[in-house]
Amino acid sequence: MAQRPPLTLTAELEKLEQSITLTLQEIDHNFSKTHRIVTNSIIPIVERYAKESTAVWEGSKFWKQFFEASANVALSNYQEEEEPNYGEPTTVAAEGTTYVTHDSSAFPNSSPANYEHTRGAAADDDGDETLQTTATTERHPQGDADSDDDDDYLLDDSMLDSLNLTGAITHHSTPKPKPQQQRAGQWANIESPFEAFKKELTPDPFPSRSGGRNDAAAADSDSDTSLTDSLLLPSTPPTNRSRRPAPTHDPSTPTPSTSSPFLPPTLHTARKTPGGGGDALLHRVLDKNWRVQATPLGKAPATKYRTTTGATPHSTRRLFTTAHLDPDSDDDDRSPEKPQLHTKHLFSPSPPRAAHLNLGPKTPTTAKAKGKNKAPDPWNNNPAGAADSDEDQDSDDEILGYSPPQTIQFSFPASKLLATPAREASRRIVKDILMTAGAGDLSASQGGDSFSSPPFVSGKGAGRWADSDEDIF
Amino acid sequence: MESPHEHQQGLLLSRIITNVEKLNEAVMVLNTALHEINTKNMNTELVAQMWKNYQSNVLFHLEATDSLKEPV
Repeated sequence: MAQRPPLTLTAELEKLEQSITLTLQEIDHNFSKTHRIVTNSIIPIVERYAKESTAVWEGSKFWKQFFEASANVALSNYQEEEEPNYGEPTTVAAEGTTYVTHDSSAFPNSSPANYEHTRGAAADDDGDETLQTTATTERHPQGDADSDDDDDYLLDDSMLDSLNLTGAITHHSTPKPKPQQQRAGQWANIESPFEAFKKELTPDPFPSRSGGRNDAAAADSDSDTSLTDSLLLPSTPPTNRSRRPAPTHDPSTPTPSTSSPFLPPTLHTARKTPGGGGDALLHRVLDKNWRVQATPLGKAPATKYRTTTGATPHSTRRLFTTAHLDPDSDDDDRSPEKPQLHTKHLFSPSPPRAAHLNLGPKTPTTAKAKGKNKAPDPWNNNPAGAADSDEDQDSDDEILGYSPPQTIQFSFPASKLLATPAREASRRIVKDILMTAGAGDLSASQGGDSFSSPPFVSGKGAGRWADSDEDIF
Repeated sequence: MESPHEHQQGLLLSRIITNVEKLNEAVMVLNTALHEINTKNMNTELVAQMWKNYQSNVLFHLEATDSLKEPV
């Protein structure tokens, strides 16, 4: 027993060196193979998919513009990072530990020490080996000339088998096969972290979607995720996740409450609390939320007071007809307008916006100052304006009653309608019709009553009147 | 002083580093492409959701007004 140990130690050392070499060759082979797969097969497919998706978007762009024009808003997706503190500090800490223990800060991501550290955390010998390997990387410069011989290393698939052979050989020399078996077990564990990492990646969306990012952060794979955390964020799983938040919109739509103006604020507030932002949640990808932002068109949102509906001509027309007839009836104003339907379509406007859109047509004249003061708060959705929002809730009627489009309507027609040729044309048409009907006197009296007609118009109309008399009689 | 194993392992590690750098670049390109695709698909999805809501609203309106007719 006393004579064997030196022989077994050298043989053991030789075996370890061979196994390390074979392991490194296998790692190299796997990386090169991965690179080849990603470059040759995955990226072309993704590019083709990008082309196809671009074509789909080109086809659906018109309808997006259509809905935007119908709601008089501009929809845009923006990325909101939410709760990044759950996962990142742990990953940073894990990275720090790995860097410190292995002292391979020169190549932190590419060093296999991380994998072996995670693999052989229980075994102390592995930690020493990884230290040795990383030390060799720092000692030796990169042999680029030798590294060009890819084919030689790519053909080393069977070298792993030789690893077992060497292990079998060493059975003869070494009296203790148990460490070999352990090492073989550890070698089998090398692939397990990847699979575990995959498994941890796949169930990630579920707790993250359910709002429990803490569960995912508690995983031990943060050292692995630290390597690829920034890379995996925009990866394909979001598509599966993206469709799952969609049902959050679905319950709102098919229910009969969609037409009721009361439900949308509750929905928006429900969405508002988890995200913090007022816009609708479109996607939830890991730590990031994609939200839909609806910016009203036509007017600057900060300075104007919820007159977005007033900016559209049809809405002003509606105001001109309905609001004057029944300025006090809220239901009559809401029923024809129903802008909340637009907002529901678009998911995006915040609850105050929807409320203001709904309730714009009312016209108390006293609310201008209040409207100017309170309007920016609902637009900005500032948490600082919580007190103002309470005031808005209390004084919804006052705020709702304020509608600038009516003032625009009043100021507009008196001066400008006279300058337009439409009135003259309409007068001519009416006169012609009355002439043909034989109501010459009435038309003359109406011509005299036409207070706004310029003199040349009336003279011209008189001339036409005389001509028409001659023609008729 | 250097054993042949150590020399070979050093070369292997340098190769690994080179391959990982290449792989990292490829994955970065892949992620960029996927990010762009996701952004574009989000707009498409938005349109789909708007249509879906429009359909549901139309259905509700027709049911509320009793004007919903069976398909021919």
